[in-house]
Amino acid sequence: MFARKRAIVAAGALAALALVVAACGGSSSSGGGTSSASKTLTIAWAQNPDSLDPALTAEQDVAPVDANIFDTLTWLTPAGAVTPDLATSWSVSPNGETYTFHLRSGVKFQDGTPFNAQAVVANIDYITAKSTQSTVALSLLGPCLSATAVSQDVVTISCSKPFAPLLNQLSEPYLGIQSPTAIKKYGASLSTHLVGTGAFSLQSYVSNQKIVLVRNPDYKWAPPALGAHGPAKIAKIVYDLVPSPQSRLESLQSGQSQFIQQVAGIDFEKLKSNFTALSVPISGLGFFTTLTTTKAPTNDLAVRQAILYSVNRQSVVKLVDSGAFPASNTPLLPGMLGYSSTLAGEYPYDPAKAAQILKADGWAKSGGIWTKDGKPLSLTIAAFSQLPEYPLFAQAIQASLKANGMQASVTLEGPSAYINAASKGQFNITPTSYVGVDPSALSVWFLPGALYDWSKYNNTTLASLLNEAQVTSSTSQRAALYLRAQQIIMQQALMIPNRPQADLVLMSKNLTGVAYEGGGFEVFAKASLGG
Amino acid sequence: MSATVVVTQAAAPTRRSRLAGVFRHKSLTVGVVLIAFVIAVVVIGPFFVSHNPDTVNPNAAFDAPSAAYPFGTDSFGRDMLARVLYGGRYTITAAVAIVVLGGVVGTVLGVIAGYFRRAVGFIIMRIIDVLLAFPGILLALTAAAILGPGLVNGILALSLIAVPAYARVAEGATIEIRQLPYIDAAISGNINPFVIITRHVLPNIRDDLLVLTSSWVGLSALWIAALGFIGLGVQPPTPEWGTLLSGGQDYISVAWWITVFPGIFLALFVIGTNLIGDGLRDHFDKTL
Repeated sequence: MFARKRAIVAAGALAALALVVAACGGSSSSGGGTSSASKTLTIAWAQNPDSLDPALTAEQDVAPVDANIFDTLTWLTPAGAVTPDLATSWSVSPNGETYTFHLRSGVKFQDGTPFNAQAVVANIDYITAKSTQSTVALSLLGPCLSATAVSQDVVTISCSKPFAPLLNQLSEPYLGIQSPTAIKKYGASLSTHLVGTGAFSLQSYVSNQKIVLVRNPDYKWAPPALGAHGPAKIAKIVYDLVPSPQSRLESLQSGQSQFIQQVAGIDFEKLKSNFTALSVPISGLGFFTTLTTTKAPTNDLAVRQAILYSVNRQSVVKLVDSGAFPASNTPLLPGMLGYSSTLAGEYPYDPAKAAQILKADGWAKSGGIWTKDGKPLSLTIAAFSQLPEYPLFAQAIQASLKANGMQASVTLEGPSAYINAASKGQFNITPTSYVGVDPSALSVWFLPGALYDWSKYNNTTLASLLNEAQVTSSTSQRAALYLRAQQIIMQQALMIPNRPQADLVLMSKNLTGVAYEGGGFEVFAKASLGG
Repeated sequence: MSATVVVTQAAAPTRRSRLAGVFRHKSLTVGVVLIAFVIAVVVIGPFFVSHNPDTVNPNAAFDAPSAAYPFGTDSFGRDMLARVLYGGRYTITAAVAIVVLGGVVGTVLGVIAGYFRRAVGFIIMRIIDVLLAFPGILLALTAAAILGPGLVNGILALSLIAVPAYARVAEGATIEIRQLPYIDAAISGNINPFVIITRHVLPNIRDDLLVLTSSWVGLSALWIAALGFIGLGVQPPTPEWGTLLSGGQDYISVAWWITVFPGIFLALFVIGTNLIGDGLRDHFDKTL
């Protein structure tokens, strides 16, 4: 207790000194690297992990933590280029079903186990084993479920059909390579004994309290694109698990932490000049809202389309995040393969058009509410209660709908109830979000029977487009296929695009060198705490 | 019939002097004034508020208290004054409903157990013991989780906490009354137990129940607000003091007014009911 307080005081004094130096115009900040060799970086982190095991977790916020413990076969730059990581080069067979990876030599896991082709095989076997019950990691592998060690340094991953997203998705921390020794040794308790090859190793994890990582002294194999050399400069990273956005803010302002994430839009805008502000773009589908096609009245296409014309997307985004984000207008967001601005003009905010569609469908307004056969147009909205954005999106959409004669009720649900209700199609409207580095994210949401097929739209054209896009290797052909898929998704009004996703981060100004991987995962391999 | 009239006439002056005596008690007076103020504001106030509590206005988000918005606005630009006043209606009505529901069920069970004792009393009180064994809020959370979120379900879940409290007090008081000779006389006179209970038992345990009720109304308001705070009570956008508090917690450094005003009203209401409870306890306590 005392030691920690003293450290905070010392850090505060050093920070003050740094400010004085900076104010005097001195630009001698080059010595920062070595002075942070024994420093602890404290992070106030929003979400308590469901599991830290990359193969098991289904949460977005676990991936950035895992990105510091594990390396992946490939590395995605923030610009979206696939570059080498644990695999130095790769080739794809002409039929697109076999990937051959040449692995980096001299890499070893934090427990001393050498990294080699057998280790990759052990990981693929672990993820695909039924007993593991992997969700996200398994879905990222698509149909590529078996791996073979050709030699010590060469491994092949075989797919039952071509799968274009594989190289992209192998870069995601969910497919971080774990020590085969640890997988074998710890079994069910693996998530508290994770061993990777990354810049930091897991020291301890106490649920709802903190995750502690310590520097991996042997680390010298950072992905070339990251530009980090040798072991990390920071000795220790403590992720304090702080669900309340306000408490995270206070911990940064009081100096208890040097890095906070998931800052609310209004606070980010207000404080970004006092701290180092970083908006880490999270690729994928951003925040969006699914409409269920199996539950009345959203089983009616006219009602779904009227909903899209009735929701003022600009106003919704402004209400939720105080203008920190632009509204999105397309299922795939700018920067992703398949994005097309031609879709952006669909469904402008147009209550008159909504009224016209509803009238043509037999609805009539009575007492300010649309009714049909004596029944009011009444919608249910589910909101995930644990992250502040979801209830806000739900209420903002509700307000838009009510303003245009549609009744809407919001129900707040805890994590499992929310997923369960949405999977069963128990609500008409479900605000959600999804992270993914490849446009095949659409398949996870709109392919019948897929993991998050919440809109439950069963259409062979859409399904075949999405399936074809997954097996096509030509980038331009894939883009064209995803564009057609998006046209159907929008024409059928299966979802309301809301806004791009980004992790709004505030850091103390003496923390430098924080980088992020494409997809939106903060890494600290080359970060240093100056002062 | 004529006997009743005589009784009322005879009781009138005593009742008035009793009432005056009650108000000599300071905390009771303060409590009554507080509650009267909060209830008056919440009941009458909304008629004088021009803004609809649910109307969203993106251009007025996070406005500080001003002449147009005396309590400021929230993140959606909704008028906090309207939300606090309408919210009070939900919170206070829910608190009263919890106490009425839990109180009636608990009292009936307690009186039956205390009056009949033996097997009936034993079974009822052991069930009550099981309910008492759970911490109140845990019991309510479990019930709310099973029933699903919502105001009505929240009220049902929370009245479950009030039932054992009332049953305990009612049973204890009934056993005491049951041993008095005139009740024994009534029983041996073969008078219907229902008549004995309503005529002789209930009026005698009324004071105890009144004290219990006054503090439980405040407690119930806190609990329904707690359920709302964690998302199991009233669902958005319906204003309720607990949901208003939880909605404002993320903005407390930029917009203190979103949490402070509902907080003040909730505090006034709970303090008021507790002061009344204290006062009534002192007033009824014959040993003082």
